[in-house]
Amino acid sequence: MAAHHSLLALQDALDGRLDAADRTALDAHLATCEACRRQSQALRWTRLRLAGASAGVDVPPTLDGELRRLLETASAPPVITPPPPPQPATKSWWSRLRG
Amino acid sequence: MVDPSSPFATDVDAAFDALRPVAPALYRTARRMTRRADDAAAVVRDAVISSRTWLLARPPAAELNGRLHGALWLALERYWQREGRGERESGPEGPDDLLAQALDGDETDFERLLMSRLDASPELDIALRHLGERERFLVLLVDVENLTYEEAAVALHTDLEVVQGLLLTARARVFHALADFARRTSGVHPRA
Repeated sequence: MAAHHSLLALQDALDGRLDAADRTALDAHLATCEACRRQSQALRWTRLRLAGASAGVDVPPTLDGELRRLLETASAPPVITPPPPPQPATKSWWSRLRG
Repeated sequence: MVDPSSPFATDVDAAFDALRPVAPALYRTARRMTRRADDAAAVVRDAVISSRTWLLARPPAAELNGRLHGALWLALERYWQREGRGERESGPEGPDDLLAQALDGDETDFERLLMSRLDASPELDIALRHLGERERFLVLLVDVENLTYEEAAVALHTDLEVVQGLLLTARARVFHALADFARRTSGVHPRA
């Protein structure tokens, strides 16, 4: 029997990242190797389960509006705040003590 | 929706049109990486704020998924810092050991395991909690939100080989956790 394929090779096949020749060789091996076939099925099963996970989280309906406001805030012209009027000089307590 | 190529489209319109299709994926990922819905929304806002200038410059569509999820990852790191904790790593077992443990048993039990109904989200959420943050983020990006390996590599600021290895370990760990749960709830006992 041909040598077992690495888990990385099984994952590459699962994710469509093997070239045609490697894919053909792997498929031929999986047809005869129970251990590799079980590992491949385990990875495939896991990916299928994970693919359904997006349905488990509700996106808040306010998200679009919030993100739009963030973008609008960034593009708004800067608000120039005038500097505060100069304050009258105040004497320090030491100066007041000296008179 | 404003046609981004129109000369009348503002930069904000174009940026929002680019962000809008990705926003739900950003939120779903953030929700599974944080403790509360408010935290997830705050992390997504943080990611968008840090990406504003880039978005307003009308970036290529091919870069959106990777760069925005990359901003999300950095926002998550800041969130964990504020929470007073560092990035958590997974256990030391490699994917070969994890799958070997989970698959230990005869063919019949394995087939029953594959047929077991584990569609409920809570079990999956529990399994995801067995992962360290980096593994969880990666599996959410690739397996839940369908980002490519290349986009995930950009998002995690790493290279393809790291993505391949981390993803394999993450998937093996999820399988191990789900298989364990299935055995306990369906009476499958693959261990001799």
